[in-house]
Amino acid sequence: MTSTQEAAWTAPSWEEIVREHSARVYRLAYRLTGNRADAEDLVQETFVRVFRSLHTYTPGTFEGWLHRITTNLFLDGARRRARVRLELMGEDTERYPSASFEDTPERAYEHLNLDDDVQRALDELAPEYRAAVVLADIEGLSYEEIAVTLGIKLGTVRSRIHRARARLRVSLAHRRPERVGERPADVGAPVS
Amino acid sequence: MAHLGPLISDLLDGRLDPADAERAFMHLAGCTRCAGELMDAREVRAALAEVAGLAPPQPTGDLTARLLSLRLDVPAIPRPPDPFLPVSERDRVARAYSDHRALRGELGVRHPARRAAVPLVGIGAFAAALFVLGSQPVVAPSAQPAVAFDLLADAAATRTVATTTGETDLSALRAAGWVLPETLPDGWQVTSTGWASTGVLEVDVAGDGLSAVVTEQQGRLDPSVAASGTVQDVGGRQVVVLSQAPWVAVWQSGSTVVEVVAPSGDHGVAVLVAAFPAAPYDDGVTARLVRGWAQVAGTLTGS
Repeated sequence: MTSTQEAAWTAPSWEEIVREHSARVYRLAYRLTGNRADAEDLVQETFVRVFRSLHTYTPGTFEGWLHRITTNLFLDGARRRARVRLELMGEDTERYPSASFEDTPERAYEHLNLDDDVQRALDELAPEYRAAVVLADIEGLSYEEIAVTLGIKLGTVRSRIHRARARLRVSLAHRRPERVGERPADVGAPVS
Repeated sequence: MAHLGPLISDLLDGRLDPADAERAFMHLAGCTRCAGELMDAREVRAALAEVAGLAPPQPTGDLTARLLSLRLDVPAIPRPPDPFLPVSERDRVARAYSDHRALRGELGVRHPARRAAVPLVGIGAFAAALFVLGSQPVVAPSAQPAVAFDLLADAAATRTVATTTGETDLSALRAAGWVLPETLPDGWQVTSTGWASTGVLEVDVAGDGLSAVVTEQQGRLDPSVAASGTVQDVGGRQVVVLSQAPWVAVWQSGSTVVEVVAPSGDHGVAVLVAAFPAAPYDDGVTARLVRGWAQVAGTLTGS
């Protein structure tokens, strides 16, 4: 073989791609959508996109590419299906936990373990904020990677993560009752 | 100093330089409100990290199996040809660029298939001059999986709408000099025939639970492409296998280059390949091309 051929990058087979990455994509999809059925749909949609665009992929981080497709498809879906336009992080968030497509009855029965509280708290976030905090604190991406993934500025990433955590703190406050009310309630997000 | 606000996240994520971090700590020492916020944020972060370590509920069905079968269900989108590629390669590569707007934020992405195709064709043309085997065009099938996937996807998409092609079509094509089996193996049938591009015959066949795409064109198999695969004996004939999944095999049959693309190379496909008639310059040619190319390449690279 020539050196040209040895240097050429060989695309992985479809089976390799699926076997190596589907679990990871599913995990991200589950954290974003909050339930199995929507997560599976999102994974499937993501892999259809991967399949169609495999030839445009440049060797680099395949994971980053998958993150980008998964997250953007999720946000597209969330925006498309949003029946109620929430004021982002508004005070009424609790009354509209289904800002996107996690509006199925089975949801109520799915959270049976420790995930429960955290996933429910994530579900209450507006999709853009949920995506930022999931990528940061569950997927372990840096702010810079998140900025690229979501196509937003670094400053926006920073403020979304900060506000999402502030909001989660309120949602998760019942996990540690001993500290509720210990501090002023006017920080970041309101406490009712 | 005002309250820390978003600086708390920065501090927590280690994004402050030492001077700023020190200022933040100074503030924290004297501000219970910010100290409380920091503790809360740290707890939230820890809770998320804990959840990250847990497996989410298992998917209901066999998600992996569904994903693996996806490739046959995706309809291909026709695209305009790339004027910078030679005609023989153009349509094949153009079809691979299915939906490049599929990815948001993918501006400026490079196309590996295009970068690969140009040197291959260039080397092929040089080799053609060396071999001086006549004026026949060099045929360079692509070894890119995406190209093969698209061919299969096309075939699967047309199968749903195509009417079954009669035997008359095949015999007319055979009479015109195309290399086609007299009779297909049991269980196989032609789902459609057509022209993938000018001078490139495409025959979609299905059988044995899978579909395969046969393309043929007049010309000589590009030795550099042939050398990039492995010569295998399939169904009593030597073919160059360019890829295993999807299974892509090419061989020279007389003045025709035959290519078969199937989801995998196991059951059934060998029977299909064997059904193709032998041509005067059939089997040996493929192997000789590969050997000849290996020598030329060895000379070129000095190895």
